[in-house]
Formats: sequence, C-alpha cells, structure tokens
Amino acid sequence: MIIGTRKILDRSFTAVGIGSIVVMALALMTVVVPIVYNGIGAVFFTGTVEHRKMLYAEFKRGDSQALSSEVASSNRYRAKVYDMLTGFEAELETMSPEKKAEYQSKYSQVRTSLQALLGPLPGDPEPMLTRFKYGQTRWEKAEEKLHDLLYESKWDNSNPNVMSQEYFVSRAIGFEGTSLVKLFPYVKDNLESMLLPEFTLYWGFITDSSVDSHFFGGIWPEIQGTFFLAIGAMLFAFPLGVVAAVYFTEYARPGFLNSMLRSANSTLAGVPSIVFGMFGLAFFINTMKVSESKSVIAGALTLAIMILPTIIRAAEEAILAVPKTYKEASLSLGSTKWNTIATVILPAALPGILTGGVISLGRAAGETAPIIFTAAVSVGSAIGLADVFSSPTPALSWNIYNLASEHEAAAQLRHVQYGMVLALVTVVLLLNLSAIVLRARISKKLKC
Amino acid sequence: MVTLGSAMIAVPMGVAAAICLSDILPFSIRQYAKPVIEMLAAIPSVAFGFFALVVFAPLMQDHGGPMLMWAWWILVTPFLLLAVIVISDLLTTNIKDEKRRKQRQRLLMIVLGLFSIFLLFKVGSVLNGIQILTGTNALNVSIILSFMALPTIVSVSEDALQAVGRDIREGSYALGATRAETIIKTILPAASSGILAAVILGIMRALGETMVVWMASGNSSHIPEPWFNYLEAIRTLTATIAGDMGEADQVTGSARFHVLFAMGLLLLIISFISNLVSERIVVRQRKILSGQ
Repeated sequence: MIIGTRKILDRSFTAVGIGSIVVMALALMTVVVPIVYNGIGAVFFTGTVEHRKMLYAEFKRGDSQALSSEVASSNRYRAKVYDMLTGFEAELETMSPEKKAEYQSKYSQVRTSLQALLGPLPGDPEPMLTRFKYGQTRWEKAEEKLHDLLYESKWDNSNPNVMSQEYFVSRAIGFEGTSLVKLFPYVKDNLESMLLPEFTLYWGFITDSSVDSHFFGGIWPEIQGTFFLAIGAMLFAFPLGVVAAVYFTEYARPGFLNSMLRSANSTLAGVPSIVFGMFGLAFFINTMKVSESKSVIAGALTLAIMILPTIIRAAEEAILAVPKTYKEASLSLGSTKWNTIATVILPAALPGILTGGVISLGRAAGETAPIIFTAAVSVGSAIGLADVFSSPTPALSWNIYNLASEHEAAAQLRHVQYGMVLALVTVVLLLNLSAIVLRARISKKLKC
Repeated sequence: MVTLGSAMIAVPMGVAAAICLSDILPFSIRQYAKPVIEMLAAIPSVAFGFFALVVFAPLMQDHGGPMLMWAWWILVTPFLLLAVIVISDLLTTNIKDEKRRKQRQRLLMIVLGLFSIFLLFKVGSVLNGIQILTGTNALNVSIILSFMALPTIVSVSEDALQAVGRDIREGSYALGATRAETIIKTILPAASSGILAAVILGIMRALGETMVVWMASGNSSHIPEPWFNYLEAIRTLTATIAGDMGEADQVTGSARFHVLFAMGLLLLIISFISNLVSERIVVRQRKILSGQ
C-alpha cells in the first residue's frame, strides 16, 4: 500500500475513535436533555384557576379571598357557556325525533370535552373521582382539550396501501343552523378569561402526596420510599461489605475455599437484577417470613445483597491501595494486627470505600427489578418509620414504570412521569458526581 | 435477539472508544471523557426504558423509514469512501510506471465511486419506504441496550489496552508503522483476551436488563418472521419473569411459579458461565503478559 493510503487510513481510524466518543456524549445528552426539560415542566408550568382551586380544596393552600375573586371573574365568562348549553338543550326538546337523535350524540361529545376543560357543568352529579372534580390544571393541556372541543378527529381509510390517516373536521359545521354554533368561537376567544392561566411554581410536586393516583399532587411518597430503600440497603450492605473486604485482603490465605469465595463474589456482581428480585421473594418473604407480604425491609435486604459485591470490590481496591509502609510501620511499633487494621489501614482507605459506597447507593436507588416483588406498590401514602417492617412503599423507580406503562391514563400524566424520572436521575447523578469529585480529590492527595 | 443486536452496535463502538481513550486522546481531554462515560453508566435503567418508550418509540413509529435511511447514509458513506480508495490502491500496486499507476487508480476510484453511490441510493430508497408498524420493537431495545452496555465495555477494554505496555508500542512505531497500524496489528491482538472479557461483561449486562425490555420491546411472545426481523415486537426472559411473577406468586407451588423460577435459573446459569469464562480469560492474559 502506498504511504498516502496508509496515512488516510490512519486519519480515518482516529476519526472513528473520536466519533464513537462523540456519539456516546450525544446519546447521553439526547437521553438527559428531554428528561430535564420536561421534568422541570412538572414544577414550573402555566397553571390555571382550576389548579389553584384544587390546591385550596385538597391541600388547604392559597389565598382564599384572591381565589374567590378569581373564581367569580371566571364564572362570569363561563355563565354564558352554560346558558348556551341550556338553550341548546331546550332547542333539542323541540326537534323531531330523528334530528334529535342525530344531534344528541354530537352534543354529548361536546359536553364531555367541556367537562374535561372546565370541570363539572351545573346540573351534573358530584363526581366520585377527584380527577373529574376539576377542569384542566395546566394551560398546555387545556389548549389540547380546546382542540378536541373545536375539532372532531376522523380516520381516512380510503387507501389500502398505507396506514389510515387522521384528519380533523370542525365541530361547528355539524351544528350549523342551531344555537350551539356560537359556542365554539366564544370558547375559543374567551378560554383565557375562563381559565385565567398564570405562571405557577408548584413546589408541592416534591413535598405533597399524590391525589387520585397521581392526577394531582406530588411525588413525595415515592421519594421517601426510595430514600428508605436505598439507606436501608446501605445499612445492611456497608458493614458486611467492609468486613468482607478486610477478610479478603488481610486474613484470607490462598486456597480452594477462598478462591471459591472470590469467584462467588465476582459472579454475584454480574447476576441480572431480576434474579435478585426472585431470590428476595422466595427467600426473604416466602421462606424466612421477614414480613407477611411485601415490605420495605424485604426490599432493603434484597437491594443490600445486590450492591454487596460492588462494595466488597471497591473496599478491597481501596484497602490494597494503602501503601504497605503504613502497615509495616504500625506493626513495627508493636501494634496488633486488628489494631493496625482498625486504626491505620481503614482510615487511610476510607475515602475509597466511601466512593464505592456512594456509587452503590446510587445504584440501589435506581434499581427497579429487585423491588418489584419485595417492596413496591403503585399508589400509597408515605409510610412512617415504624411501618418499615410491615408495609410496602411506593418507590420512584417502580412508579416510573407503573405510571408509564400500566396506568390507565398514562398519556395524560406525562408531566408527572417526566417529573419522577427527573427526580430519580437527579438523585443518582448527584451521588455519582460527588463520588467522582471525591475520587479526584483522593488521587490528588495520593499524588502529593 | 436483542442481546445480539445490542452487541453488534456496542462492541465496535465500545472498542473504538476504548482505543481512542487509551491511545489517541491527550490526557487532559481524557479527564473529561471518562466522567461522561461513567455518567452514562450511572443512569438508572428505568430512565433509559422511559426514554425508549416515550421519546424513541413514537419517533420510530412516525419517522421510521427516513430514520433508517439517514442512519444508513451516515454510517456507510465514510466506509464506502475508504473502501473505494483502498481497493483502488490495492488493485494497482503492481504497476511499476508511476504515471500509469496514478491514472489507473483514478479510473478505478471513479468506477467504484459511481458503483457505491448507486448502492447508497438504491438501499436508501428501499429503507425509506419501510413503514415501522410499532415503535416498541427489537431494534429500539437493541439500540438502547447497546448504550447501557457501552460503559462496561469501554472501561474494561481500556484497562486491557493500558496493560499492554509501552515497549510493544514503541517497537512498532520504530519499525515505521502508522498509529492505526500499530493499534490494529499489534496492540489489539495483544489485548484481545482482555477485550473479549470486556465484551462478555457488557453482553452480560445487556442480557440481564429487565426494565428497558419490559417497557419498550412490545412484550409479544411470538418468534418474529423471519427470525431476524428486528422491526417486530418481541419478549425476553427477564421481562416475562418480571411481568408474570405478580400473579404467579398468589398460588405458591403452581406450575407457573416454577416455570418462572426455571427461567431465572437459566439466566443465573448463563451469567455464571459467562462470568467464569471472562475471569479465566483475564487470568490467562495476566499470566501471558507477566510471563513475557
């Protein structure tokens, strides 16, 4: 090959290498940026008067005088809408039966969209579920519902070769000639006065419990559940892990048993997390009966077993990195082996052990599969510390899955899902960042 | 199936990234690149699964064909360009006369270039016409899983590449090889066992991943037809266990319970064997390197 081609190959090889790192960084951004952007929308958003009504009624928060004046001003505009509805209902009664049937179904669709937009209409029975007691609390969702009200969606199946296309037909055309045709432009022009949107900072998203299965309210029970599980797991795994690492580095002699133990440790590090979950279910709950059914303690124990190998490995490396001269100096001054370990080696290795511990804490907080069968429920209130031994808890990781896949209104609750994912990713990334900073500081110390 | 797919994407990218990190990048940039990779490793799997379900799947469903076409163009064009240059060079090495050689080479480059442009456009238009019926399919999961397995592959293979030592590198440079040739022909073979161990560890991570596949693979328990059709929904062992265990546990001792545990046992055995194999490889590599 001539030298020119070899040079080109060399340069392109460099380009491929740099390109793959760039792709990885881009992938990280692509995953993180939408989560951050949409997740912040769960706390900072344009909220309507319905949101403030809900806050006042459910959480007793807000200025009741300002709220009642707002409600009064919005009701002035809504009153016209209600009048138009009653007028149309009277008109329906006077129509012939075929025309009445034709308009009835269209009218009920319009009524449903108005209920979704503004809340219960006068004359409706009191709704059972909280989600139907209020209209749209977020302005962008209100605009979507307005589109639903103004246009009806139809599907075009004419071309058999492509998938059916959706197209929109204005509802006003369907009510041509009746009194209701004025409703649509009126609602379109006056929605802002009816809903009074303004910029809301809803800190309660992080501190409130959820109302009616995450339709309103916040995610505090999930956050607390994740904290309980992660800290519980560390309480079990950290001492065990450090003691095991001390054994492996100081006391274990090379032999069959110890090499088996080391193999077992590194194998455990690679086992899929769902297998840990099954083990937790079968061992902690069914066999040892740590609790009657799911509970926080069973989940914490399962998570502890999952992060144990990581802690052992990190602690081992930290202890091995302590210079041998420390140990020799301490022994030469007459200290016993255990005293040396406790007073010289462990404090010197502590930063490294802490780094490993913090990374494992992040992993325990983010894992879902071990807690599906052992500790997590979909909805619930924040449990007290005393219930740790007997009751399950909602957790961020499980609830993200549940809300996104199994919830019946998953598409409407996107902002809550993004908020939960942001909370989880923030917690884990903060923990990892602090571990990286800690490690950088240690390596600086070791260099000097 | 998804493990294979994610391995196909992750292994080349991971090894290339590891090589870049260990050999090509200056030290100061390496300090910033390593945290990026560790951040990618730290993101919880539900976050990836959520992203796959909510952002990636609708994107694939609405714009699947054009996305595939662009991916084809972006990935293949540089390679075809290189291949044209290299092949035209290889085919003309024997001609002694300089001018004639260059003429022949240019002619070959034009012919091959036209052929590759034709290939690009033909395959591109076929891909553009594909309509992805469901965004939650095996391809979606493969791509996301490859990003989850990447950090493991990169960090372990970087360790393996660093362990090769300076003397091999310096010897190769002294004989006149370019950096790419040094890496491909001497360092990669020397570190190959470590890289193999890294790949096995990364594949283990992709194999055992539950949440991403549960959320984004479509959970349809039938074998796609043809079996290599990545655009259909599939179901994996891990997602089956996670999904069915809730009901199965109510009747402890039922057949379903035991079947799910048998699946878990299979996963455990697979991970145990791959871990043993990767450990053996690492130990053997250490012996070889220290013995030399």
